[in-house]
This record gives sequence, C-alpha cells and structure tokens, in this order.
Amino acid sequence: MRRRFLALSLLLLPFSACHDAIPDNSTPNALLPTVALADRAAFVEKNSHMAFLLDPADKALVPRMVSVGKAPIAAVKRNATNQLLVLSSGTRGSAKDALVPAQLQTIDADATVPSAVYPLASSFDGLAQSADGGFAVLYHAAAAQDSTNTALFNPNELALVNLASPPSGNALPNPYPKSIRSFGGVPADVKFSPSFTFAGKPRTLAVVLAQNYVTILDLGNLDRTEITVPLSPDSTSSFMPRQVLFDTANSNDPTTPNVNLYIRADGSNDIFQVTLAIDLGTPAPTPPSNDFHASLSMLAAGTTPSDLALYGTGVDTRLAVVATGSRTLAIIDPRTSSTTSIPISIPATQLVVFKATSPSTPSVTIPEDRALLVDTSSGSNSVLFADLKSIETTGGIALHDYPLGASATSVVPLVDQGIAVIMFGKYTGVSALTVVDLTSRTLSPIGSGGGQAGATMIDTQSPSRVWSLDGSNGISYLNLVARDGQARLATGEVWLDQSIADVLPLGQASSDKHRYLVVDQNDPNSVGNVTFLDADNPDRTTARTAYGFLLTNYLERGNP
Amino acid sequence: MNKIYLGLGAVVTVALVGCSGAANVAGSSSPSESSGGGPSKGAAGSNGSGDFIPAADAGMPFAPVVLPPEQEQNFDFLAPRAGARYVYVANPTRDTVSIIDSTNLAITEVTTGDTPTYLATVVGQDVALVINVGAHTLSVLRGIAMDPVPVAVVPKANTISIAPDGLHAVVWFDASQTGATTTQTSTTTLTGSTQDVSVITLSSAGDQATSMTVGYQPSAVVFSSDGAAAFVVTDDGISSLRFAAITKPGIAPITHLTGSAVALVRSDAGAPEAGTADGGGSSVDGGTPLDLGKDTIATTVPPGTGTPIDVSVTPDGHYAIARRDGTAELLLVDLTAPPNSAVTSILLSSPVTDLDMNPAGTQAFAVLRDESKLVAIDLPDGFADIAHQTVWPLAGETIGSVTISASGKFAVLYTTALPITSLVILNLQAGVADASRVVAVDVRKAIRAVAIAPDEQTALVLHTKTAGSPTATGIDQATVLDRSFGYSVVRLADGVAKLQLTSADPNPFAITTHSEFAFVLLRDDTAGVRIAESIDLSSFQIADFALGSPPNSIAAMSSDTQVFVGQVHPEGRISFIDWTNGQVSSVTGFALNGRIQQ
Repeated sequence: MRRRFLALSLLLLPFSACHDAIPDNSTPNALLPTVALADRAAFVEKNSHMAFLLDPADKALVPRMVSVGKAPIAAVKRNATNQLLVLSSGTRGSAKDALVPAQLQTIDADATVPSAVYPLASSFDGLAQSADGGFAVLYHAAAAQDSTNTALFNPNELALVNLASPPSGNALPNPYPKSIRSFGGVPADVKFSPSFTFAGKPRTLAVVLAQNYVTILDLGNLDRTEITVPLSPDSTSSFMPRQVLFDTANSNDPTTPNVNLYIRADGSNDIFQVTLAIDLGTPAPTPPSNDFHASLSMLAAGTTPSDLALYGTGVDTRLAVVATGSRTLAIIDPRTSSTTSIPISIPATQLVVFKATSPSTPSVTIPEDRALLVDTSSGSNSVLFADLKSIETTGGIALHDYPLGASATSVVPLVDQGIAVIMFGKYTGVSALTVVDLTSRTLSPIGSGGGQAGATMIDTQSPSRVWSLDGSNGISYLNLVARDGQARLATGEVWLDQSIADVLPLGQASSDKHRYLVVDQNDPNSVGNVTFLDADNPDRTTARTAYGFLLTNYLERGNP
Repeated sequence: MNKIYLGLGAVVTVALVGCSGAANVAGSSSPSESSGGGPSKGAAGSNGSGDFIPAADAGMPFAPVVLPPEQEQNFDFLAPRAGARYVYVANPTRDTVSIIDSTNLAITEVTTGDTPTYLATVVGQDVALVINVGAHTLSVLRGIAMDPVPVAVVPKANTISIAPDGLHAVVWFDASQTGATTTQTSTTTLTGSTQDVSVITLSSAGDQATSMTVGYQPSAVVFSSDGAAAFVVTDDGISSLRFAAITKPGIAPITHLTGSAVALVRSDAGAPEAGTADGGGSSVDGGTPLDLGKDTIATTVPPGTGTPIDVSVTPDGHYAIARRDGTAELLLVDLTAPPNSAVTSILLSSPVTDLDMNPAGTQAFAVLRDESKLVAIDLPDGFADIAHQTVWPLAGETIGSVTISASGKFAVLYTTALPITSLVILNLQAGVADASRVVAVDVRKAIRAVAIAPDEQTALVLHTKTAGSPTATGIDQATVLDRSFGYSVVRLADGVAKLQLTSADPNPFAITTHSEFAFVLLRDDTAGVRIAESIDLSSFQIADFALGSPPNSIAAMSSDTQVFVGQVHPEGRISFIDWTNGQVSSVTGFALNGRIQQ
C-alpha cells in the first residue's frame, strides 16, 4: 500500500513528516460525512468551508479544492450525476464579518464545469433531491433544528431548486421560494416521483410528508399551487406518512391521463391512493391552478401495514401490502379497491417484488410476478415466497415458507441481479447474512469468524459484492454473484495498515478504468486519511492512501 | 305492478321500483294487488290469427286460486344519486353533501344544513335537492355550487319528487319510507300532519317553497309530462298541484275516488272463456279491437273501496288512471273536470293485477291474471265504449304484471306471484299476421322483475330463488337452478334469452343511456361477494368487476360512458366503470376528498 502524505509533500515541510507536528493552535478540521461521487471521493471541511475532491485515478492523489458556502451542513452526491451538492447555512453577519447567505452549491467532478451557487432565503437544514438529480427541495427538518437558534422561521417554508437550470435569471426565480399551506404539521420528509410525461408534458412531482397530510408539488410548474391532501379524517388520529410509491404507467392514457400515488402512513391501517388525473375534455386550467386534479382513496390493507409494492401493468396493476398487525398479505386492485387478503405465517415487514420462474411450477417458463416476504422486526426464523399472480385465485397455496438461520434485521433487494441479501444484525457466527437466489429459491447462509465486527455494506453495483469490516484493519468481501474469474459466493479479504472507519464504493470506473472503494481510515488528527482500493480486484499492494489532504495549501489558504 | 320504467332518458337504474309508463311516479310503493274474489267480467278478445303455442298447460281453464301479490321494492334513500356529470351523496352525520365529479373523481363537500338525508337529482342534469331533516329545509345544489338560501319545507318531509323539466319539485312525506335506511330520527315522523307538501319552484335566481295541503296519506306524486302540474295520490283521492296557480299556501283541489260511479260493463260479462278462440284455446288472439259495442250496457256499480294504486297520468295532465287493489275496477279521473264528475270506472272481467299506460298516454294496459289476458283500453274512450278495448288472451300463460317499453312498442307480461318461468312478449305495433307478434319465452327461472332497455331491443329479467343452498349435496340440477340467484337477458324481437346464474342477488341494476350495457350488482356480505357485472346487450357477453366494498347503488351517468357504483364504506366509496373500455376508477373517503385543497 502506498501512502501519500500530501501535507508533507506539498505544504508542511517545516514541520517534518510527523503528523503529530501539526500546529496545535489551528482549529481542528471537521468533516461532513464522506461523499462517494461517481468516480471520486469528496470531503467537505466545515471550518474552512472547503470541498476536497480526490480522484483515485490521480496517482498523486492531489485534492481539488473548491470553496463552498459558509457553515456547510450537508454534502451529498447529486443523484445521477458526478456532482457534489453542498448545503450551507451561511452566517448572520456581525460588525466584523459580513452576512453570508445560505446557499446550495453544485460542484462537478469535472473541474472545467463551473460550480453553481443557488442562494437561499433561509437556513434550511433538510435537503431532498429527485432520483434524476434534476430537482432539490430544501426544507426545515424538524429533527435537525438548531436549539440554540432563537430566530423566527417558518417551518413550512421551502426552497425548490431546479438543478438543471442556472440560478435565477428566468421568468421564475430559481430557487423558487414556497411556503406550503399547513394543517398544523411541518415537513418531515420529501419524496420525489420519477421524471415522467403527464399528458405529454414532462413532470416531476415532489411529495412533502407531514403528520396527517401530504403536499404535492409539480416541480416543473412552480407557478401552480400546491395540492394538500389530508390523510386523517379528524384531529384524533395521528398518521405519519412514511412511504410513497408512484405509478405513472397511465400518465399518457389517451382518454384520462392519470398518475397514482400510494402512501403508507404510520398509525393508519389504510393505504392512501392519491390519483392525479387530467381531464382532457375541458380546457386546461391556467396557473395558479394545476392542470390535474387530485382525488383520494383509502385502501384497506390489514392492520399496521409495513411495506407495499406495485407490480403488473395496465388493468393487471396490483398493489401488494404486508401488514404486521394482522399478519396478512393484501393484494389490491387499485382501480376498484378490491382486496384479496390472505394470512401469512410471519409478521412480514418488507416485500421484495421480482419477476421469476418458480421451482414450484417448473412447467411455467415465463417469469411471473412473485415476492419475497421478510420479517425484520419480530424475530421470525423464516421467509416467505409468494406467487403473486396466484394469490387472488388460490390464496395461501401460493405461499411457500423457507427457514432462516437467524432472525432478519434487514433485507437488501438486488432484483436486477436475481438476489436479495438478508442481514441478521450481527456479523459473526455461521449466520452473518443469507444470500437468497430469487429464482431457485435457495438461501445461502454466510458466516463470519469471531471478533468484534464492524459494519457490513452492500456494494450494489453489478456484479454486487458485500464488504464487511472487521473493526480494525481488515476488509472481507463476498461475491454475491459470479464475476470474471470468481465464483458466486466466493470470499476474499484485504488487510490495510490502519484501522478502517467506513467504506464507500464508487459508482463507476475512474479514468484509469478501475472502479474504487473509498476506505475512510480512522483519522484522529483530522487531517484527512483515505485509502482507495480497487473495488473489483481488492489488493493491498495496489491500494493508495491520501493522508493529510485536508492540509493541502493550508498556509496559502490563510487562517481558516 | 312490478316493472322498471326505463323510458325517460338517462338515468336508467336502480332498485325495483314500480313506476308509471306515462309519467314519473316518485316514491310509489303501492301495495300490489291481491287476486281472486272480484267479479270476473268479460274483457274478452276476439278470434285472431295468432300462432302462439303455449309452452305448457295449453287450454288451462280459468283457475280461481288465490295467488300472492306481485312484489315491489323501494329506493335506498341514502344511496348516491347521479346527475349528468356529478354524483351526489348525502352525509347526514357530517351535515354535508359530497359531490363527486365523474370525469376526474374530484370531490367537493358542501355543507348544506342540519342532517341532510333525502336527496334526489333532476334527470339528466347536475341539479340535486336534499332535505335537511334537522332543519326542515331543502338545499339545492347546481353542479358543485349550492343555492345560497335553503328553503323551508314541511317538517315531516322525506321524499322529493321532481318534475321532468326540473323546474318544480314536490317535497312530501311518504309513510311507506319511514324505517327505511335513513338516519332520520323518529321524532320527525311522530308529530305533525301527513297532508302537508311543499311545492318548490326551482330557479338559480332563488328557490321558492309554498306549502300546500293535500289529501290524507300521500302515496305517490305524478307529474304531467310538460312539468306544469303534479298530482298527489292520497287515500282521499288525487290532489292537483298546478304550479302556475300556486302563489301562496292553500288547499290543493282534490278529486275524490270514493263514492258511486257509473260503470260501463259488457252485457256478457262474467263468463270465463276458456276453450274459446278468444280465450283459453291454444292460440292467442291477435288483438283486433272488439266489435262488441252492441253488448255494452251501462249500470251502476257499488262504490269502490280500497286505495287506488298504479296511478298514471297522461302526459298532458288531463287524465289519471288507477286500479283498486284486489278488484276488477279501473278508474279514469278527469283531472280537469269538477271534482264530483271527474271519476269514471269500469269493471273488467276479473281482478286487475297490474295497470300501466303507454308513454303517449293514449292507452291503458290492464292485466287480468285470473284469465291470462291483457286488455288495452283507449283513453278516454275505452271507459265509455268497450269497442275501444283490445284484448290479448294468452291462454296457458300465467301473467300478472306488464312492463311497457319506452315508446310503447312492446309489452312484456309475466308473473311474480308464482314460480312461473315463462314470459310473453307482445309486439303491440306488429300487424295481425306478423308471426313475431307474440313470443313466449321460457327463461327457466321464476321472475321477480322485468326492465326493458330504452332502445326496446332487450329486456333484463331478474329471477327469484327458492330457499336453500344451490351447493347442497344430493340435489338435482333443477333444484340447483331453482336455488340459485340469477337473471336473464332477452332479445325482444325474437325471444332469444340467456340465463346467467349469479353468486348473489342481482340487484340493483342499471341500463346505460343508449342501451349498450346493463349492469347488475352482486352482494353477499357473508360470502364476500362484491361484484358489478356488466352485460353487453348486443352480444349478451358478461364481465365481472370486483369491488372493494359491498355495492349498494348503481346508475348510469348521462353525460358520458360511465356507471357509478356506490359502496358501503365508513368513509364513503364509489367506483366508476367506463363501459366502452372496461376502465374502473374508485374513490374512497368522501370527507377527506372534500378537504383536499388544490
């Protein structure tokens, strides 16, 4: 493993190579969580309000530094791009320091692409973005409020940012300030639809979740009003929306274009179906009215629904819902609200819907809709496979029980690779996790040796791999599917020279054609300590460490 | 009478409600006739050239057995009501009416008044009237807006009858509806008078109500087809409400139906005619008008008793016809004549078990079940000259009810009093020599009701079932058939029929505006049956639509190609089915939907 002592090589010659010699009068660096961009790692240091981008293909591992807004509070990868999003809260200003407004900033991995800065009217602390990275919604997250801040603020104020457009300048401001109507609640989360066309027009919807209601925003038409949909019939109920599914399959229906949202809320036994429909028979309303209309249906789904999934298309579209309280699997025809509910042997909390053939019906060679049902909270020692197509006609016959070696705590679906990984919340023993082959319905338990294990993470990039930390210097891995020269479920390990805090796989290969694993090494001195490991062929001899990169140009940057 | 009137346009629906052929009868729940006991006068038919061969019991003599009455059912008053585009649902517990837009399922909730309970819509229009029981007011909704000021109505009112033109309504108390599926408190029905009605003049510029006193115990309200007058059928007689003349509260002129009257009877009345060419032979008379004027005599008959039922009014509001329950007496009421000279009655040859009128109001049709005859009586001449009566003897068939098609082309005759599986289709416009003039159809199950599609091409026949489960072991196929629910669709031109057995009682039902489809609702809460079944009336193909909740109402929207299906759900649920493509959309939670802000 080669280590790059960047601080030494670049700036800190007077202080020798010993990182203990860092000036003790400096403010310790404070990093936001490491961000894995598509092909590089990004680090945001809060005190210097500086972003450091490290390209693992750069042999020297010299960070590219970009200033970000003052008081950065969140840094994430902009979805579907190779950009960093940094949310800063700014400073209020004083006699000594000028006021610096809050801002949202994009920083592209490509240094030639200019950074975009979106000034914000408020110091938001919640950041949500659409799956395509086209839009961001900034909000005041109730859970993240600064208790020391006594300034008044409107918790229902949002900033809607079109990240695909430059800041401001157009007919509508960008970011677009929006205070949504409230039924007494405050935003708790924001969900986004996929981008789709609605009656031929491109759309992205944002759904703001609040206790007892949701707010729907048409992000492509910000001059139109928001739609507020109540979920609770009276003030005595407390429904907290948690999960939103979008069905846009009929968004261009020639007669009645419509989109369905399915919302699961804690505290409610109903799934809320919100239908957005465009009436082609009447002139389209002009702003601020929306050109679609919302209606609500409550779908009975058993007691305490815990997960839902859509499958099928057109008139065969169905909503599958598992309910832990009633131990049922409900198959709902959303068109008619007709429900087929069957008892299941476990209080399943999670549904993994997939298309596959089934060993129970070998004569059926066409893949059909099926589901894996997993209990991740009540200690069940089995999982269920459900043949969804047959549920409505054969009931419980379509369910098949498979034993587990331990009680599941989570499940990671990798449907496109034909597997799911069931985790057990512990990383030692013969049942650290189980790999489920969704087609053959084989469950492969994976064990781990003794010792206090660290985190386990699933690298979802195909072919997938599980990375497991041993709590010190070791990383072991498991091939979830076969890859060149390596069998499915083959294992390996790499030992580095320092203890490991976390690992993050990059999403794509860097310019040197290698895809890397970002290994956050423990960094007691907060100077920056990261190792890049070849994610496909992990080998300590090719691993390279950038140590001290946060001190790059430290002196030239003044006194951060 | 046990028929469903389908002729007046868009809304072709619902539960099995008896209606008149010529004018709307709202709230009619006339007790059906009892049979036997009455004089069997000779409403005879002539010899004819019919070629009908009875399916069974050819030559069956007149059988003076006592049969049960024909059966009817009533509206569910809390069920949704269809306008043209909107569906209206009263929510008594929330003091609101939910208005559902069938085009996009948007729901508007309007607060109308205290305990809105009884709701009716103007046929083919998005105008709804709702009685706020707790406030004794009537609110009028137009589209999704409400007229600003509700009008006061009589305290006991539980029924809204709306004129065909939608310009007037009569709000009244129908004693037969008490105890129906409403949330009305009993205190509203215990006191006050049953003889008060409110005449409502509907106008978007301001609705007006005028209280009028009518006869005792109203049982039906009938409108003239031009909407200029309403006639309230009461125990005392028929109260006339001529809207143009009503400017302040008053007592409505009443034509009493009791008291002696001059009856016109045939001299040979009373003789059964089994075995004769015009009666019980193996052929059916073709309906040539009788030339029996020379036999006509005038006599005075004892004063009739019993409540007049099956009241119909001619479209011009000139005449009303009725029968007396359990008798052979028919009444003709000249609604324009002075009260004491207004009533003419005739006695037919046996008790009349059903009475109907053609839409033009030119003929009345009386069914003589004891003789298996249908008598057509020209109005008004048939009450003065027996030559203006036409008789169709249908020997071998047991018929007690008649359903007349929308334009009066067909009469479908059947009985609901006995488990008879056949019906007779009469083409009233066919020539004497037309072989298809009379068609007997064995529909294989006993009949409960018949509805004819507006285009007069098909009829929907609802069947009865016998007690017991069709899935019991050890029963033969015939018993399985008898014990099953079901319905038939029948092509009127030639009697081609299709029997469909169902998993639950097929009721209520709806037929679409232009007769493309019929829909029946199947509901069995114990068995979990919740289905809307569509019937393609051109191919008789049937498709099921599973529903999320037990269905309780259905109607066709007049403005598009959808039917709505109201369902039992604590938050309110309705589904719309587009019969052109089978698309279904549902909305649940009327109150929540009403609170959506968009």
